[in-house]
Amino acid sequence: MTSKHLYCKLFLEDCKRKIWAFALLGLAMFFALPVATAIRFSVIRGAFSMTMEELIQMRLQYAQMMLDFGTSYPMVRILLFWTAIVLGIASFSYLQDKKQVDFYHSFPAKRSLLFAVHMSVGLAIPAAVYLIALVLETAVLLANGILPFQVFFWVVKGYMGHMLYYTLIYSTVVLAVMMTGTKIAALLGTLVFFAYFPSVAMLLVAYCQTFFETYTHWSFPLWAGGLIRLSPMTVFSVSVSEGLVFNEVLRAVGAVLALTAASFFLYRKRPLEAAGKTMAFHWSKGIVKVFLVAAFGMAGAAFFYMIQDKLGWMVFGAIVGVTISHCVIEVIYYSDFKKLFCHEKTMALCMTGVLMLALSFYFDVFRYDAYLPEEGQVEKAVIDFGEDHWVNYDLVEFGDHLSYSGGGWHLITDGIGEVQDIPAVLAVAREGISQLDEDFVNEDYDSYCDVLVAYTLKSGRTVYREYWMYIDPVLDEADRIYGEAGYKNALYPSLTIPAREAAAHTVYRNLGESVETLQGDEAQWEAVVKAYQEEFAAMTMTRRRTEAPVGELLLISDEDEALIRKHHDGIGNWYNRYGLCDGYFYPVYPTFTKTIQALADCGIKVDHRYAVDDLQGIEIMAYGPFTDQMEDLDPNSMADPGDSLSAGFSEKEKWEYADGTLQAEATVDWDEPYTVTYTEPEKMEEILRVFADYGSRNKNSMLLTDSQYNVALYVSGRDAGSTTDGEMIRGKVPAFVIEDLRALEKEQVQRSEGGEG
Amino acid sequence: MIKAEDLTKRFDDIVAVDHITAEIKDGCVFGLIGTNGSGKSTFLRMASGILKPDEGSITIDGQSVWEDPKVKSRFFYISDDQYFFPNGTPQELMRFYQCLYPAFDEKRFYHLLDSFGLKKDRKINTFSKGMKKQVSVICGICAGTDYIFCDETFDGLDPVMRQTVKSLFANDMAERDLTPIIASHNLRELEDICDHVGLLHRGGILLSRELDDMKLNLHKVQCVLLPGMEPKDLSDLDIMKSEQSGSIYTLTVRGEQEEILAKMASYEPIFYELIPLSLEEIFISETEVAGYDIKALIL
Repeated sequence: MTSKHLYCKLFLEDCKRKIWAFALLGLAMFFALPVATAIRFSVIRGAFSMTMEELIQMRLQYAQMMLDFGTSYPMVRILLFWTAIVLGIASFSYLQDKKQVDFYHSFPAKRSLLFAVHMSVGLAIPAAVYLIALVLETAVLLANGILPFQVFFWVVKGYMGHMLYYTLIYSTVVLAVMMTGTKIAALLGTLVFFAYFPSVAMLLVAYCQTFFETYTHWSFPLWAGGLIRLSPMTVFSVSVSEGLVFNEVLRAVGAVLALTAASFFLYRKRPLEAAGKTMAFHWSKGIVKVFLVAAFGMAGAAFFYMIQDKLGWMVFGAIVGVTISHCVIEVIYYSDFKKLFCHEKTMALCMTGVLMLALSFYFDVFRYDAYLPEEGQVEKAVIDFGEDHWVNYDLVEFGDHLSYSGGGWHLITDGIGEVQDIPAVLAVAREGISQLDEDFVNEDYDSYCDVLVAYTLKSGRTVYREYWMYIDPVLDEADRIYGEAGYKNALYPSLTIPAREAAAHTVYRNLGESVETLQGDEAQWEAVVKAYQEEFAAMTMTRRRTEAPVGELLLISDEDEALIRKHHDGIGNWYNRYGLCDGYFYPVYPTFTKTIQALADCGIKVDHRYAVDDLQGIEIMAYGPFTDQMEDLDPNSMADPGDSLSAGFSEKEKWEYADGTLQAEATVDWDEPYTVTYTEPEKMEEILRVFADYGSRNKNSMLLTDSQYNVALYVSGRDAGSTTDGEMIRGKVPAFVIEDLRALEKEQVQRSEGGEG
Repeated sequence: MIKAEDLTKRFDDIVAVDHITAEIKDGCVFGLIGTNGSGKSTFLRMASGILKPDEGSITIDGQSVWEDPKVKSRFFYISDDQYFFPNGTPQELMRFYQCLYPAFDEKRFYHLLDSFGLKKDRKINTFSKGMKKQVSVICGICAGTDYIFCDETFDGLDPVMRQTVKSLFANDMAERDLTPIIASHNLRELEDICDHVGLLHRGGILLSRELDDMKLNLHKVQCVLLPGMEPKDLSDLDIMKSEQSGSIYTLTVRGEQEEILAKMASYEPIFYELIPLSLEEIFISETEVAGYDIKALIL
């Protein structure tokens, strides 16, 4: 008898043995596809009044949801997932029973043939059942006016996609069965294959986040992402959410082939006397145990450290994690409680390894945080100062939605905006490292930047670090980097849009967020864009600390503008459209004189949001003490408002227990700020010149303001009653404001002293 | 011919079969005897290609059994605890075996089922232990293979059925040169069917002999010697064992029947006669010579 003939006969015989799988899955699929669709269509027909065309359109949308490979209808996915586990174990469960092993392996058939038969039956059952369900589904659709060719693409895509990932999960389960000797062990093995690598990835990330101050989650995809993708479950869910991407499909096919080859190899090598034992291969026992115990030990250490934040508890957690997991695994291996400590040397080895690893994180033995490459090692360096998250650099269409990608980070993630001045990048990083020192204190948090650095080394490795650092000591280096044309163009993609292209769409938006269209001709608009691009290219980080934007200019490419227009023209909501263009509105600074002039030529008056005439008055609230210029103050020596001579008051407070007995009694100081209000036009004009409303920081988060002074503009006229709050640019607080507040402070001191006397 | 050479199988630190070398000639009934755990089943599982030997080889007519469907199609293996498909019937089982053994005799299968009083469409899991064994034997005989490996197959069969199965084997041996290899821990079960016996103990083979050879060369003599004479005075006889009950001696003597009778006559005893030896007694004698207490081994 030829192998082919025998294969077919055994295949059919095995299908007969698994008729239960046909029945159960068939029933579930029947309800999940044709019945669910018929019910839904019946609901649609009764619930909405619409034309036949609209009804069919709605049904078509629903059919796509049901049939296509994606997130919208999870039922098929869930069914196939569980089927893969059940059939994966059932297909080769005969290997776990001595009687069946003797039965199947005494046949005049090669092991390769038996493997092929059992493997393919597990694939053929869902493939056939799913196909039949799709045929029935198509019949239901046809009965509801949807022709098969209208859904053919979704049917094929859904079927191929789901079956591919079914095969991936199924072959993983089969591999687990090959390595184990009982059904319970096979299930546990499946769990390990599904969850081990993602769990280890999460654990390592947790360790890095807990113990490394310079760890950045941007490096996550590099190694943790790779680990996570070693689980078929995560690969399946990622593919479902991202759609069938060619590379992912290719990887999945490769994984299926590799897993099947591994299963086949193990099937051939499997000692058949392994039936009934937990692990089929003696050599795999130790390996699996060490990997699992290490993970549980590390998890135990992390768990107890997170609860108590102490080294002792971390060590305790590691010991407990290793001991319990090692004992449990031994009991599972030998099905004998007396074997708890039968490999005490391995346990001791695991414990030592786990403790060393956990402590190496705790003490940063490998000096992760202190890492700074030599200049000669760096092939390429990219840096983000974390100050330009408003920039939109990538607009992608996802069905009915547009996806925006925030700026700054893309330099790191995409590795663009390569900095030429590598010593400057290293100087910034060096400063970041030095500020990790426990002794470093600086409470001027406005001057802190979240600096991300990515080095591509000559070895090809990319290293990421993140520093939450006080930027002042390396402001010169930051300016040098920020001044590089290549860097700036990568950071702000709109600067490279041809002026003519950007001019066609440009509008001006003031701080009140009202959009003004440019007057004049195209040449004048182009002049505005050119002037802006030139002046923005010359902008420095130092200047950004002292200038609040006065308005915004839209700089968008034809392509992105068309995409946004397409999605929102139908709605007719222009505000909404410009709201979605926010990442393309670039800040106009008061020192951009050429731009402001060019805008003026186009009929746009760039000014503060409010003129003096629009205001009833300006109220300034502040805590003392007051100096002439806040910039003269050392931020570290700045007195706490609670310690200052404020316009506060004291009162006695009592705390009592529930039964009325006295728990505590104290005098509590309530601080209140000093307040001055200005209505004189000259003074209001002077304040407005240095006023920075809170919104202006959206486009320039580097702006330094005097947080000691809170400014409230009281609006008159049409918007009377409303206020706009903000602060004043640091170091530019008008002298009369300080004097007035100081006078108030002095008066309060005298009043306090008089009261005490 | 099945040939095992230096065959060894270990399960972790247990040596189940320890360097066994044996030959099983075609057309005879080979009995594999041994206590529980002596390695009989392991030997048969290796002979069936289920287990791979750790050392040595097992061949059928010079061809290795392991992973060779052509060689494996020459035997049918009945394990000590045969597997049947859940809810399967004898008829379904036959259909399955037909896929694997092209020479499977369907007509004979139905005929034998009928003869044994087994229903073809009754679920096998409702059969008794003995009935299940009968189904296995019927399948094995009808598969049309050259060899049939039976692991403790006769255990559970009633005496009538055992005789029936033996006669079936005898019939097939005569008709198509079937070679049954029967493993059992019960010596008495094999006495009237085996031509050749291999005795396994602790994974090794103690002896492997033709039953007739053993029977022809070993005899029991009951005698009353002349006064003053003792068995040690019968120096011409190869006495393996002697027992005394009053003046009657029972001697186990190696040698041809005529030769022993002639030598006994030369000593002019008061009385002597030859009585037949059971297989059990032959084994006791043979293994005692080898230094083993056979009663402790297999009885």
